[in-house]
Amino acid sequence: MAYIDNVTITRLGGFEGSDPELVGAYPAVIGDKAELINKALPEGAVPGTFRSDKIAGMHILSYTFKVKAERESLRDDLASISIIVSDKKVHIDQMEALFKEIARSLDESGDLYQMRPTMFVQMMERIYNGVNKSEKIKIDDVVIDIPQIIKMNKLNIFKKDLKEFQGAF
Amino acid sequence: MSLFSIFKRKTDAKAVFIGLDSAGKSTIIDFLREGRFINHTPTMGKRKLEIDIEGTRISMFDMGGQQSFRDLWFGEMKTAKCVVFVIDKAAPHRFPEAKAEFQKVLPAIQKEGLKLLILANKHDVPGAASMREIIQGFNLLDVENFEILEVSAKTGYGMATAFSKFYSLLTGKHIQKLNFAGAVSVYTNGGVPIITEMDQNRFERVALEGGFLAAITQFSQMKLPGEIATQFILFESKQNGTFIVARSAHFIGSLLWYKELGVTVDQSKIALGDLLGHLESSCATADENTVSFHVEHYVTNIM
Repeated sequence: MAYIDNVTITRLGGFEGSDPELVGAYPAVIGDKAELINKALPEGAVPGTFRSDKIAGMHILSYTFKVKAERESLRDDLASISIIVSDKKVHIDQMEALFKEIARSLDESGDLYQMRPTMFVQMMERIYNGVNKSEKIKIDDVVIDIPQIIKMNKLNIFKKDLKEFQGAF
Repeated sequence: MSLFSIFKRKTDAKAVFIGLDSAGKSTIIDFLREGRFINHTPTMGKRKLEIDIEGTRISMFDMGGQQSFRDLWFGEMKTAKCVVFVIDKAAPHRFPEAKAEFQKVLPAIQKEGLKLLILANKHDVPGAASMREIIQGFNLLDVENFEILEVSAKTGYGMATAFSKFYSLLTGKHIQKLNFAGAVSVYTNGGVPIITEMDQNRFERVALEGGFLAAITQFSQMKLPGEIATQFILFESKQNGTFIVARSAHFIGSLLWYKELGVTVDQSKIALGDLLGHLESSCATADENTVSFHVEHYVTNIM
């Protein structure tokens, strides 16, 4: 059972003539690209901030960060990494807490800042699998121990199914 | 009469900063607010920043310059008093695109009677277009009622003058550019002189540099608690006035204050602190020529 449907990265490049763009999505783009960009990288978004919104009835949790410019004379890019959750059984506030831990760990390690296009897919795939399978995410030297985060923060990502309680009292 | 109207209210004045992406709008606004260069990521859509000056609350709308955001400019201009159009003078290859956008907004500016200030940014870049090339490139001779200034939000060149002009256009009030120093010197944090800028009508370089060096020597011999970002010490000089010496992570700065400047010692201390803060954020690890260049540009704001 998957907690999250999709991981996406959007970007507004620091280079001349850039425009907001969807850099990639894993496993596939969900919904309208323009709407996704608007929600993932909303007006006034600044590095280091989280945002929670809805897109076509699904939750989109986004974290905005800086990506180092490819040439020294250019300014850094503005980017955001988002997870999309459609499962109504997911406690979205608990998922938000988990996502914040993941994003902060990656940002503090410098991995998000140093991110290059070749790393985008790898990063999205590992976050997707790590969260959905509730296992450690390893990206370069950074290890994000999902089970430990869930345990330490006493997170209950899934709402209990009422059927589970039948006859159990 | 409502109850609230008996309280003194601040006057609001709104300015909109527009121009192509990468022109330096956000960097200019942050320099005006913070007094130093801050490296930016692109602006997503728009952001609003406010400053309070002499009873006026100035709202500065920093509009994203990317193609997708340019339609937003017109909405914000409807309620503005002043438009600041920023040009990247180091990117003449983009002048046709910038000119096309300028010509789109010009009718709205003129129709609404908005004040127009054009800032030709990136004056620090070698080979940047001249004022003549900008005026010709943008057909500015055909435009009525505008002001244009060369600035660099990276080195600080011309920023105080730009702010003074901006404030005057926005509020109709004049703001005096203050002199905070008779002379300014910058040294490496080991005390090696990098540059001295001075009011040459008032001081003799040799005598002044002697004073600076004496102050720096005393300062570098003092034991200071911890690695404080900026530390100030004052030295009285019978001949010249008071040397304010400050130390930051990579530099030592010295500023000569005297009574006739018309500002307080504390104001000059802030000016010196801002200079060092600017150098730390823009050229902390650069070579001495680059630091000198930044100091020469920055002191246009404080002397």
